[in-house]
Amino acid sequence: MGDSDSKEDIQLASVEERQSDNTLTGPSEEEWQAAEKVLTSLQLARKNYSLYPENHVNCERALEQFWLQLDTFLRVYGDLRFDLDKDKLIFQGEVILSEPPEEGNLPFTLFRDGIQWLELQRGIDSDEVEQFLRLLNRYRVLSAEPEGDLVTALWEAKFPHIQYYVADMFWGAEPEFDLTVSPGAAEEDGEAVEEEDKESAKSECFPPIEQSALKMTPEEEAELREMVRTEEKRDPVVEYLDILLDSLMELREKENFVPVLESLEDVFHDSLARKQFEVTLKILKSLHFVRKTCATETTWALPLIDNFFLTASSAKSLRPLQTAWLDMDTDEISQIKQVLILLQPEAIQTLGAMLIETSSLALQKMLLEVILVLAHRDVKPLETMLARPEEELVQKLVYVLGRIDGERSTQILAKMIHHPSPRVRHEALKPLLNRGTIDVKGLFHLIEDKNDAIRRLFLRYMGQERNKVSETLLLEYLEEGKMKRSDDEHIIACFRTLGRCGSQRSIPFLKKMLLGRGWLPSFKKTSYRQGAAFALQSMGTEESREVLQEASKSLFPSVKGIARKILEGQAKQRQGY
Amino acid sequence: MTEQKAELSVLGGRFIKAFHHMISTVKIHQENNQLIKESITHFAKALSEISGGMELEMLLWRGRFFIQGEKLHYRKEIFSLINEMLDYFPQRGLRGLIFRPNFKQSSLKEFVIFARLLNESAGREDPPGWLEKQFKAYEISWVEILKEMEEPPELELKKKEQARQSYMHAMVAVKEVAQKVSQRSVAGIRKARRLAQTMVDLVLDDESLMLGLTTIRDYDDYTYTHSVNVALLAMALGKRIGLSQIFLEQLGICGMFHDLGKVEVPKEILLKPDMLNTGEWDQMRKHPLIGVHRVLNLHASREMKSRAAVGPFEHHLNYNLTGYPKTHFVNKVTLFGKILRIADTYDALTSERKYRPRAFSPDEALRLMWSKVGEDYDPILLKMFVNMLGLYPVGTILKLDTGEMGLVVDYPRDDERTRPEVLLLEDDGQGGLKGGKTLSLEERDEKTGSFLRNVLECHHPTKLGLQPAQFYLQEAS
Repeated sequence: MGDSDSKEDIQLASVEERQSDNTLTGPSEEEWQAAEKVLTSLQLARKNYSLYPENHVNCERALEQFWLQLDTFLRVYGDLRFDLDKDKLIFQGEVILSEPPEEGNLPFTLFRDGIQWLELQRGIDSDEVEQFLRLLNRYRVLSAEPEGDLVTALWEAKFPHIQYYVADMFWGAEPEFDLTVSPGAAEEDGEAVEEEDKESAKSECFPPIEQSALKMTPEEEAELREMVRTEEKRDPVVEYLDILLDSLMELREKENFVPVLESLEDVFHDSLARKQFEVTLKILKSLHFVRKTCATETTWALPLIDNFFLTASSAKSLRPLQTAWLDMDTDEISQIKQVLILLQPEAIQTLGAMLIETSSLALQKMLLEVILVLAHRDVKPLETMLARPEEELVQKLVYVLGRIDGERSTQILAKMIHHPSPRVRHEALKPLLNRGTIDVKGLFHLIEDKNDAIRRLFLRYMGQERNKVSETLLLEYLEEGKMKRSDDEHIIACFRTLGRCGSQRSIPFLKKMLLGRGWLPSFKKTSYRQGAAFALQSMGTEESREVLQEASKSLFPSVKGIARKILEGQAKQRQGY
Repeated sequence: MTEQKAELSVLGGRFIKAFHHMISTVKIHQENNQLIKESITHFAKALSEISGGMELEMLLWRGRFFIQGEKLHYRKEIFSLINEMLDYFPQRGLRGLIFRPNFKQSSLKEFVIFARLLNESAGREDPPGWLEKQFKAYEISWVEILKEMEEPPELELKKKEQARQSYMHAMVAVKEVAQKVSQRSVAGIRKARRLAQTMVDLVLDDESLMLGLTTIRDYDDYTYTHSVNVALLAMALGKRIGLSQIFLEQLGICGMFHDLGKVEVPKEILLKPDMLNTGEWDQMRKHPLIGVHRVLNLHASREMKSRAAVGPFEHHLNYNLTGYPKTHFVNKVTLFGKILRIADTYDALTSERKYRPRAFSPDEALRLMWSKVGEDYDPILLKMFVNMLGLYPVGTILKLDTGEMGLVVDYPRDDERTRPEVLLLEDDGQGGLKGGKTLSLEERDEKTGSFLRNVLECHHPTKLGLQPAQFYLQEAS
């Protein structure tokens, strides 16, 4: 009944008085019109609140108008009170508003929850009016089996200038037990022995309570105040979570397990959206713990828990993070990382997408690290993501893939070598080349890759050490005219690489290229000659030097010039220039 | 106490003190004495303050003063003075006075006459009738005499009726929700919340009345009366420690639904008259967890469920985390849980159970609980609880050294909880008992200064076949 309670008698009496007075006089024309204006503006405000967000300009205007009309009325005529019926509002004994008794209509909205009269009193301010309108709008329509209603909202709001009287509308003729009957007379019911009773039933004599012991000390009073303050401030979800988890531990029945997991899911989503990551983390860690305890006896619970993790890892579940991390600080990023790491690898699909949606380097780094951890557990979701069209995303994921060891990862990287994006191919090639188990022959097509960086990277790899396979491939490539590219730079780079990976076996070919006057068209001769000279230089063997010496004495100035330049350079190097 | 009631208590105390001073002063001094002038000015001022320009009704009923229908709470400092006034009125056959607003137009002389007439009326044959005549003769129109008053103040009656109805409705609401969740159908808590709100209002308004209701016991619906009792006891303790209105509502909901899990415990276990065997006991120990599951099925917001789940889960958890259910993640009991643990145990101990020969009397229950303070119960909260209920909680039957039997109905003061007010129980001539006079065990012999009545023994009301609430609510029903 709220604040209206103590006024009930007075208020009801005054209604009767007014109503009887009105049979003689009724409200004045001006007062009636002023009340109508208040109601009209209230109805308009309600309509706007139902159509637009509360901060929409239309709502603000409608609120202002209502407040203006109400304030005018209150100043001139005093408190404004409406009596209620299911289909009408009554002002001073006369019907001032009539609407069918349907959800959404003002009289019904108020009457439905038991309000019998409502009074707006002098002193009401616009904030109070605004809050009131919000509540009216929130409870326009009541769901089946609702948690609250308008009366509950008014009770909680404790508006100082809005009074109302509520009837016991829930109750009809419920049976009542007879208070004159002693409970000792009945013998039908009772309750089984509870723990404290088992002990206490043994003894009938307990020491008296010393009066001095009941006196509260200042410290206890302070402690009590703190207890109350903490209780009213605390977020109940933390204890709720503990209760749910303990419930999973202790009540191992399938029919009870499912609703608890559903409730945990609800808390999980909410905590993510509200950036309460310590709660989110606790849920996941604890469920891992619960899962472990289920592994031996309650195996039926395992798929249920796994399903929880799967759902938690879904796009729908993780989407709220996108809004949440618009303003995340370092600590929060660190916390969410711990959370995400505990998810299923399926989360990679969502986290990957998020990776390219955020511009924060810190977030990107965190996401990459998480994806790496998750992909370590199962690379398949990551592999699926590699088919995505976004080049940047795929490149980043390939980068992650490159940090995962194992045959499967190598296979996928090798596949990615054929990706249309040079950035992706380059990203895939780097780790592949580092693995050492690479099939150079299989990758040799990269020597012709359109991308300079990829070609350079591959050639650098081949030139890392003397290698028969690389030598053979390069010899064939250079010797047998398989080369499709014709730029000098590429040709020279291939020769240099041959010099680094090749052996004695290549010298005849190089000699032929440097000194010979063979089949090559003249526009290629220069680059082949230069390339061969550089290759011989790179080989650094006695035989290669001999060829270069021979070339330095050539009759052809171009051959002689290249060879001498290289030999001079080598001589300077030896002398320490 | 609500702000309004606190103000009434202050103004009421001031008014009675001024009244007492006035009638005492006119006994001693002449009309022109300065002290008389001062005492009358003081009285007129106090009357003006408390009446606020309206008619003021001052009633005496069952040993308590009621101002404007509200029971007056006294401060320790004026208690002896109140006791004198409690004698003063009956000695003159007065049940009350009504002061009209036109007292403001009366002269100082009129007030002196009024006070002297009141004093003098004590020796008359029909004091009220005599007073009426005298007032008429002296044209004192601003005061009206209330003679015999069989009925309690109207507001008091109304409040009791509302309290009684709320109790019954709360019981029905808990039952409805329990049945719905048991049948796995959707159960909303709108009704329960509305009732919890009404109960909060009532507890804030008249804690004693609501504590009186917690003595209601019903064998047919033990779990439901127990649930409502726990809710009321918890809310009253919550009020004492300063929880706000909204949290009191939540605490009430927790109390109402704390035993929701019992619906699932087989009846043969619940009703077993003997000690439970291990298997049965295991079943029984599940009810807090089942209760949590039933709360999860309520049609309510996450926040509401978060609060409500505490009730079932923690009401058998001790302060030191022993008890049940076993905890793995919960590492401390919440404030709500600690309150519910106390309220639940107290109501359970003071209820009749089939497995034990008798229920503990309220004071016995408190002593038993006190023996486990700091282990099972939070020391500060239990201290507050005992202070709230008093050494002899409402509903206790006291055998007095005068040979009388009295039912504890209230404590006159908030700061003194050893000498309650009792309703004397008299033979109704039909083999039963009826309520007689209400008196305070603080009353002393004027000559010796010793207490007029002392407690010899305490008993559980069922020992006399009583349902104490019957006496609190009899006028209402």
